[in-house]
Amino acid sequence: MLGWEADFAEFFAARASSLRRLAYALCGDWHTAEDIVQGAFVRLYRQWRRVRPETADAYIRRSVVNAYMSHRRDRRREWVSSAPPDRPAPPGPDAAARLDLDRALATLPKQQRVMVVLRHLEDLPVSEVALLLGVAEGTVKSQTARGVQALRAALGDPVTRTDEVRGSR
Amino acid sequence: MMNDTDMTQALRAHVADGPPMRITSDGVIAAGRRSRHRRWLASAGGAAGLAAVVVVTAMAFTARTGPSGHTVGGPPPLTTCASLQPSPVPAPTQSAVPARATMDPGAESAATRVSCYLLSAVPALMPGFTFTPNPARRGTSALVAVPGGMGGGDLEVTATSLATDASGTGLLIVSVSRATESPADEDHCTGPHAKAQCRTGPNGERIEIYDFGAEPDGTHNITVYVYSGQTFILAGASNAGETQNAPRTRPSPPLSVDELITLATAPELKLYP
Repeated sequence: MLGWEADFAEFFAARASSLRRLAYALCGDWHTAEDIVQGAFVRLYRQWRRVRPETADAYIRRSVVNAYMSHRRDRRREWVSSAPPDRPAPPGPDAAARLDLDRALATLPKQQRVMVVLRHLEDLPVSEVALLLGVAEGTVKSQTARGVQALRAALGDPVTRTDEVRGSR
Repeated sequence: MMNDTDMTQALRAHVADGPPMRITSDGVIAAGRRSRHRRWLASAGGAAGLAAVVVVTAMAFTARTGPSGHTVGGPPPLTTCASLQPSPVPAPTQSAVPARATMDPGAESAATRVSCYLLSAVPALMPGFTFTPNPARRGTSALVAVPGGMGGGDLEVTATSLATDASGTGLLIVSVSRATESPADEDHCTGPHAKAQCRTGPNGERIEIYDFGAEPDGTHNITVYVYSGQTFILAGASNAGETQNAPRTRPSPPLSVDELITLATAPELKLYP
């Protein structure tokens, strides 16, 4: 490995784990998350010499989100090439809560789920989420609020006040 | 009550414990290299439309069965091939893109020469194969060169074919053009962007080999570049079709690296000494 590929490898080492977590929060499956992340990095590899270093992070995050949003279209191919399933995680005290959140997230429309995850897991400001998804900031605020409200309801939280949803930063 | 902080913490806990990550930077880079090269091959599909509207001499050829029993589409008449002189093709005219009803005489000559060579050499190199038109390039005939194709240099002509034997169907691509850049301008072998294995050919040609093995879905492309004088020759073989995401249709490409080199280093393809 020479030259720019070393820079690319360094970027991969720094970002792959967190991007896999992002992808998993979006799709709810670790294998699919890795497929999404690998695809995003391959696309970034092809563009690496044209992507400015300061924008590489935004580029690949957008790529992961776009791959998730269009994931259904590629499902048939993924089934064909999918790897054997992981060994199930041993049951633990948080397993039930994790399963609940999994189910709750799965009830959200895709774009709403993306907004909730980008705002609350990735901690991105409203303006950045709006830019990434190509929607108005008001849409991000309202959709995130609805998403959080739905999650709370699904998780059995009686409080569904939307005024607690964080606003623009 | 779950507040915003709780929501963030719940999401972070939710994604905290995954299985060990299977993807590595080496794996991604290898996939990226293959992807870049595959796209390079696939990009030629977009030029098929242009090739289809260009009236070329090859279009007038009729399908026939070759002397060794290989079905080939639209070969030039033997008299045309026999009459070819071992001289460089004419210099290009002013128009870089052939018009709908005309073709640059240089490109016409190049296409005829390349077609004649391939229609003779490929069946001889691949006994037992049947050659049929590549459906990704509508309107073209098997092993018959037409202008354009890979987006490369001046006077570029490209021939493709599906090649089928008992193991399945693969893809062949040969593109010949007048070199627009010296290989030293971008060192693919030893420079910071090096991705090729390089050799020197039997007549001193510079040869670059792009073979990154099979992709996870089993598809495998091999591409060889040959720089011979002012001629740039690309020869490629794949075990999948030319369209994007085409599945594997045979276990391995129908030609090996050495066979592609044999094909691409033939003096007949050195159109621009």
